Amino acid sequence: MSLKSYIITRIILALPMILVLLILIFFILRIIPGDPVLAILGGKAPVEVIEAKRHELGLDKPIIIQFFDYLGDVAKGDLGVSTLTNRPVWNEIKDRFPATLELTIFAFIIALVIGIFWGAEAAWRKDKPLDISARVYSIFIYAIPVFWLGLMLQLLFGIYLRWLPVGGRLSPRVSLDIKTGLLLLDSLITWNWEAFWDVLKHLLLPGITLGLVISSIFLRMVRNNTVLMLSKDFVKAAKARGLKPRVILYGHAVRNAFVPIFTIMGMQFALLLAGAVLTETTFSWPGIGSYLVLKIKYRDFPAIQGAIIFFALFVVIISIIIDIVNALVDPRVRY
Amino acid sequence: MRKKFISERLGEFISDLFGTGTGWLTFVGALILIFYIILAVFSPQIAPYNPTERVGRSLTAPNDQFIFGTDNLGRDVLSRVIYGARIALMIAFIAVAIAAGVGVPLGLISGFIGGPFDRVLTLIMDAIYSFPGLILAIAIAAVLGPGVINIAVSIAVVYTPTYFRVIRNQVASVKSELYVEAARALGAKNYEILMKYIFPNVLPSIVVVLSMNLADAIMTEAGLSFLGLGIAPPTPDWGFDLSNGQRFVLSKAWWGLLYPGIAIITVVLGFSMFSEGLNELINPTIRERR
Amino acid sequence: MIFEAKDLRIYYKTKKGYVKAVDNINFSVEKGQTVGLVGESGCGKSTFGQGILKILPPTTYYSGNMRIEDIELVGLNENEIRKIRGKKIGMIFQDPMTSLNPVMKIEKLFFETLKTHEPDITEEEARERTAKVLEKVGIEPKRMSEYSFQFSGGMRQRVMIALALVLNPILVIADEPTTSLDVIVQAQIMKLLNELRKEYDMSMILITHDLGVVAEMADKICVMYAGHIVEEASSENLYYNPKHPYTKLLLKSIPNTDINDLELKYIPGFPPDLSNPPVGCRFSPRCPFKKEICEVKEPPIVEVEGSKVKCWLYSGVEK
Repeated sequence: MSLKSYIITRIILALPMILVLLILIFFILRIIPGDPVLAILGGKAPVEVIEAKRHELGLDKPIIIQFFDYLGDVAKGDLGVSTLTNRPVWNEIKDRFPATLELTIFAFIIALVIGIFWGAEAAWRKDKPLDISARVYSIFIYAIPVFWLGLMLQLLFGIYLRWLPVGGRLSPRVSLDIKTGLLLLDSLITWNWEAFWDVLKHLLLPGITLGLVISSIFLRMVRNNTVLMLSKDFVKAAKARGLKPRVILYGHAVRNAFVPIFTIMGMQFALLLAGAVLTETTFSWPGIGSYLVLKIKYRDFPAIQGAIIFFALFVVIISIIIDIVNALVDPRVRY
Repeated sequence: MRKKFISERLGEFISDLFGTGTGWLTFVGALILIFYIILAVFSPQIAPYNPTERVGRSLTAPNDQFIFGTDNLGRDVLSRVIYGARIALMIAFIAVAIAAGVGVPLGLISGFIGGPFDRVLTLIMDAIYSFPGLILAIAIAAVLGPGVINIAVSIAVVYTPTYFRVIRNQVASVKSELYVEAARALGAKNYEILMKYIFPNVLPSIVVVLSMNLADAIMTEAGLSFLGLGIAPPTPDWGFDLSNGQRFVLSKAWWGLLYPGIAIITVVLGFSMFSEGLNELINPTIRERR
Repeated sequence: MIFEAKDLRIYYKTKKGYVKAVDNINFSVEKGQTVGLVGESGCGKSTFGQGILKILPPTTYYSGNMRIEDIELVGLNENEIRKIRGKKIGMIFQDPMTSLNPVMKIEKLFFETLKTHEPDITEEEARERTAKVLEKVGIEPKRMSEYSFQFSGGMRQRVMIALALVLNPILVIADEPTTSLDVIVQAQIMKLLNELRKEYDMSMILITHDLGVVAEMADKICVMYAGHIVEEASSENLYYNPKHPYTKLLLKSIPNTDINDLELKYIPGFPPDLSNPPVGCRFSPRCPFKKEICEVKEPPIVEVEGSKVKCWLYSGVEK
């Protein structure tokens, strides 16, 4: 199978999943007890106002019609209008998405770097201090709630040492032309070093917080798989050809150790997103996660629904991308 | 591919470090659990102060009188941490009970009947399962509003698919075993087969999943209440106290943040060690699968 | 002399203690020679083969001498021995299914090997040399951009051979090169190895448990048992006039196609535990000709009719 047809098949297979997810979200947010109109207007609104609002939102129609309206809207990319700001939810999400993307990518990179290098070196020095410390680290980092880790880092680096800011993405005094919304990238392409430095400083604490939490999983997987790979015949054969230890470790063992890791990365991404909601709230990071929490506070149901749909689609899309990357890394998947 | 429980993952990490079959780990885990259960049950007797009343000056650093300090409303942090065990354990136990109470019967029936009913239910459960757990819980908690049962339900929805999947798959494989076929041939009724032959077989898995689920439930509850979706203040709750404490991070009131966090971590570690030990005890072959 | 081992001991560490996998052996390979190393599995022959390149676990203990040309190998550190591996001594492993990295293209394996030993080599030159050596082993050069799993077992072993030859080593160690292949492919690979050895003017150590395989190819055969070389002879002598009881039994156990002789023969008993080998002759527990002294004292090596034998049956005087 060619790479192209593999990708197409993978996308088609994801469609029923997306449909079921959309149905689920609809049912959770519409059918479960609790009246969104009352939630919006409060219990004391006059009956006519409630009815008018109900009509405006299409809630007086039969549930099945509502459902198809909803599906049609989602398909068109119409996630409704925020009852709080009266702006289209899709626009609000679009504005905030780059912040979440930047944070999760940065965290993912941190987790990968820690996982790969510590994991590989630990595998190379099995049962030595570097290896044992990696195992102790994994236990503690995994038992720590992500927001608490964030709070502790805030206290230490933000409040006591004053090295890094404790929230936001950019200091008010720094100006930056926003193009992609990924501020690190924006500052780079405009050669704005002052902004780059400022953005990086803001990104560091939340990125590390989120990155550390999932690093333990990568670390364990890289370490254990590399230990396994180092015992394989092809590593011995590589050694017998006189290859350098670094080449054997990273070029052969770690590279092969990554094959099973890629397949579970999608799962880690779901974990990362859940962590992102908490991290964004901890660090006042203006992404989708803090958007969701904010909208819940104001019971802005269209926005809540929009954000949840967005997260659901995001997870599915990422898992597709990861499968494709997996196919690129492991040629056996393709053939 | 299966999502792993925090306890399960931690159990792997722990056995990476100490090796398997370490009975003392289970023992330590059990001690931690008993400690927290005692804290929860006897909090009025143990806590030095009323957790919801002003008993000192606001934001007093730890001293002889308030060994964990006081919060912004002058409430004793130690007492709040002790009482916090109540909410954490209560919600965790209720949530797990609901998840198992719904997931297990559905799994039993779905696996036993098979057919389109099974396929539809499996698809729904898989969809819930693929969703990031916390975000799903947030959505449901947002709809349901605060309250112990509501939070427990929100958490339970996240974990119901796990019970469903484990039980359904086991039932589907046990169903075709010879002794079940024999029972059927002897004219046993469906209900009898299910309760007499299949349920006892899947019971060990249920126990293991139950014990592993608790740490996740506590973590999720802490996350929800940190986001302001937990039970209503002023009830002491670790997650809520952390989000409350964050408002005073600039005044360097570290004590309001440190202790509730340590409570969450130790209780999660305790549950994990315990469930890992239980897992090894009940399911000695589980190691080989990893 | 291309390669020589003197009083060589290779012990590797396990939880139970040191396993004396190679225990005081003398072994040599002349230029252009093929030497067969034969024995049951677990006799230490593979340990010896891998020990020459020192690719055994780092806790392994070596003593005695090993020389390739004028280079003493036992005392070399990891970085020094690394320059010998692949360059002076090539190695072919038993299982081509697992010995080629499955996620790398074939060409990458060649390029990295060339690049390591000849850092100045250009991409073109590397490609050219890879193509040339692949052609020699009978693989179309254009297949170099494929992955190992796209090749059949026999073809993979050809790739392994090419990989061992690409740097023109003076010695090739082939460790059970055909064991995992089916019979027809086995013969093809053996023929290929023999031709290439001549063409590249190399020496070869052929490690196998199958006496039938080496007899046609080897100039000299060493029979190994429980960490010792128990008999060393020209292949003709060994085949037609075996001396050591173990060799005799080994020869009898070769399956043949004689319809009247369908009885399956094997040597009763098991090879000893090498972390705690028997006192005296290590074969004595299984030996049908065992004498009293065999269980007490290790036999010396004596020369009988052109063969070297480590057995009390041939050392006339008991000391």
